[in-house]
Amino acid sequence: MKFPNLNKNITAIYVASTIAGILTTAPIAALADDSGFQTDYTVKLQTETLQKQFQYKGSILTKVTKASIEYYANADNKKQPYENVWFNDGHPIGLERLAPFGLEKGKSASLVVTHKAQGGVQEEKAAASMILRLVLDAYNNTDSFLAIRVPPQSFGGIIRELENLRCVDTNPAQPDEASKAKLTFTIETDEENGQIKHLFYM
Amino acid sequence: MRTTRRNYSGRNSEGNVLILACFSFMAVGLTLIMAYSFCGLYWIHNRLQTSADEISLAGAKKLNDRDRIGQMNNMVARCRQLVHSSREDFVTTKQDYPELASFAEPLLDEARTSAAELETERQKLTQVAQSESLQAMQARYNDIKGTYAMQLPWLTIGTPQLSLQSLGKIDDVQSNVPEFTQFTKLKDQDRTQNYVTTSAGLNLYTAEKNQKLSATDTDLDFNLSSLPALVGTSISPARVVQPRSYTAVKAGYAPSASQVVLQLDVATGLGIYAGSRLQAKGTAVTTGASRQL
Repeated sequence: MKFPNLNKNITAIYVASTIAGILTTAPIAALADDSGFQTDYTVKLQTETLQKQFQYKGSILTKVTKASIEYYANADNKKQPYENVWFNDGHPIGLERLAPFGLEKGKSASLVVTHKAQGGVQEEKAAASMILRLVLDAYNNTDSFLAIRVPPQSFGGIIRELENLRCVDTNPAQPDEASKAKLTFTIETDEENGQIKHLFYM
Repeated sequence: MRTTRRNYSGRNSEGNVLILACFSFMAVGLTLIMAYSFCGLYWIHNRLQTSADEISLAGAKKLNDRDRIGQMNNMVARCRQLVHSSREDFVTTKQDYPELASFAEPLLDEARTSAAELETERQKLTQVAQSESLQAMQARYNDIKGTYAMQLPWLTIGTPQLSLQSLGKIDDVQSNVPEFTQFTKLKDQDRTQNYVTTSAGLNLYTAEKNQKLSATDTDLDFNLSSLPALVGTSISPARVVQPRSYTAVKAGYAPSASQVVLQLDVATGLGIYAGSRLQAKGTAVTTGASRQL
């Protein structure tokens, strides 16, 4: 039994993803980091569920998560803090900028998401929301994230939350859709797990 | 021949000594009772002051229970930064990459919504803190008041009355939030508007001032309450303070100090009636802010 259009569709998706990636991507330097892509910088996003916050009768601030962001050039591995953002039930409620966004303009980066402990739904929501904010920061600085590496246990959760935040999967029946995307998000786990997913902001 | 006085008067003077001794003992006894009464009054007044301090301290401790006011102050200031940052991102995106304005705008809207919700939550917390603090003071007063009443032959002590309980702050104590300095434009605006109080190397956001953002986000409120700040790693403990440092808190802001006035009727129980109403004022400040996570 033949599927004449299947290979064609897969190729079209791949080509479209590549085009969309190039549109939002600066030239790639030949510097390696621990993701599958070679990038100039690594931006680390660590989420942490905060206990004992806003403990009073009737409090709605009971699901507080903190996201800490730092970055380093893959050439020197010298970590620089960028900002901390606090979330409640996935919605940002506070920000503390620690230093300017110090990536050189026009560079590429990979975004590595980690959880301080086990993760969970709240941290997945915070990570997804933070990914959008960081992608915008990078874009405004003419930098781009080639890949977003997430913990294997949070892969599905973060994809789901990104879809809730207006990111879409492409429809295989309409392969040209991907080429119309304004932003592309390549979400992957480590090489052992090998999961990868492309999401698009149309 | 030598004659004695005794022989001469023919009277026995030893009975006079006995009478004199009796009068002396009575006088000494009366003096002791009076002295004891005055000492008792002094002691009662001290005890009343201690009780007033205890009651005010119970209320003060409850105000910033588990650092709730400190956490709220910090998050309000952080939320202000979030809105400012999101606005900057949106403006830059709209200008440089108009096709992505629709991507940046919801991020700004989300930040603005959070700011409005946080202000509502702050008001709720203020009411909860006030209510729980007043309840704690009333409960402590109820514990104490039954231990006072006493009737001795020389001293009568009534039941203390809680004639005033109020919540306020300590004069000149700003918010616990150190100034954020990374957004240069915002920092300059804050300094111009006196949103930051600088003293002894500690730049803190000014308390009880609506720290509105300029231009397009002026509809949002960012209110910080007065609370002793963390100095280094030292948390200011809840403690009794001088009543003169106590001042009223502006409406809508969380209090950080409490004050009570206790009154107690006392009277002497012997001889001519002499009574008085003792009064003691207790003032205490709440626990300062902890290290913020």
